[in-house]
Amino acid sequence: MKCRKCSQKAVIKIYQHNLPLCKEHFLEFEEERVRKAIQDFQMIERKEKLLVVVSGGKDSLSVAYMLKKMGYTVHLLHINLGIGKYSLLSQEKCEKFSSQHSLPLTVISLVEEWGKGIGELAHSTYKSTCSLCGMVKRYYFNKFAYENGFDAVVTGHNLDDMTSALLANILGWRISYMVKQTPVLREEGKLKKKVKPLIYLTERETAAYAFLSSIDYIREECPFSANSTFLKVKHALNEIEKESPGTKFSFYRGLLKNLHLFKEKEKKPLLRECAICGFPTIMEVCSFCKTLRKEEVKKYASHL
Amino acid sequence: MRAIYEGKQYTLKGRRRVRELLNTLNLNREEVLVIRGKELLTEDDWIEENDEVEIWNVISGG
Repeated sequence: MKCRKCSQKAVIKIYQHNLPLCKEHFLEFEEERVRKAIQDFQMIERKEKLLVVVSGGKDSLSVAYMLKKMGYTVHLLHINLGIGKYSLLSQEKCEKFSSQHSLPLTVISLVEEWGKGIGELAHSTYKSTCSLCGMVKRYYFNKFAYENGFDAVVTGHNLDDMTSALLANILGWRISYMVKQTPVLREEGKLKKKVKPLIYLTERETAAYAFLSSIDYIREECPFSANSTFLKVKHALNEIEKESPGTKFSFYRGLLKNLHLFKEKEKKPLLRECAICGFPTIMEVCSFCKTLRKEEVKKYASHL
Repeated sequence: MRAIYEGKQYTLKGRRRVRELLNTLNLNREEVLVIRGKELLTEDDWIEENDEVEIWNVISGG
């Protein structure tokens, strides 16, 4: 198989574009797709300070690498979730990447902050580990970005993440979640802008990009996500994608095209400041404080 | 040829294309990378009798 652009031996074929490419042209192509996504959705500007949240995985490290290469000002933030060896290895990968590419890194450790890892925290608060993990990460990403003057929080969500979440939300008819599945969530008060520059890239492409760019990432799965519904939905979509390449892309593009249909139906909730921490919430006390700052919430309630 | 996937080693006789290997192991081409040394292989590439390849899962759940 030969590269479509130079006739050298291809190292990968991107099935959705029916495009075999050599290493050099593949890396160039992926970076161009990311530039296009940034432009198409006016995600970020050159002068903005970006907080790239990194897990140590292929997607977040690749997006940080690409943005630095494109000349953006990048700071890395890693949340150590306190999941035994998995978290130790994740942090190690982030630290190695940070020093190799001279990018500043901040680590927030849940065990240092709360005395427990995410598994124990979920157990003691009667929450599911994955939903608590998502909530805690979103809270810290935003809080850190707001308190340290960043213009945007950048995540490594790829096309597979977006389409599997979309399909899962359609299966459960969670329209309020679907309307938030956009490539950009604009800044609103203390909620910083959130952007997803990898939305045009499949998970296989980001893995190949990381491998060919010698990015050393964690390949182990989070032990809590091994049997997640999310993974099952990803497999189901990839079965369809294998038979009809381009399905994932057109599925997600369809959401963006038809978003107005859902947004009209979905009333936007009013945001106010959490009575405990001051960060935006639709309730009097935000979910983070309600779950993890129970004593403070009790004290607050007793003074009402 | 030997193929390593998710910590397991598979030994198969003869040379075969990457496409055939993935079919044999019932793996979806969308969900893996096939690597020989430092080389990324396409579905058309041949894996020789004495080769060893690693198959990386690329799908993550969290």
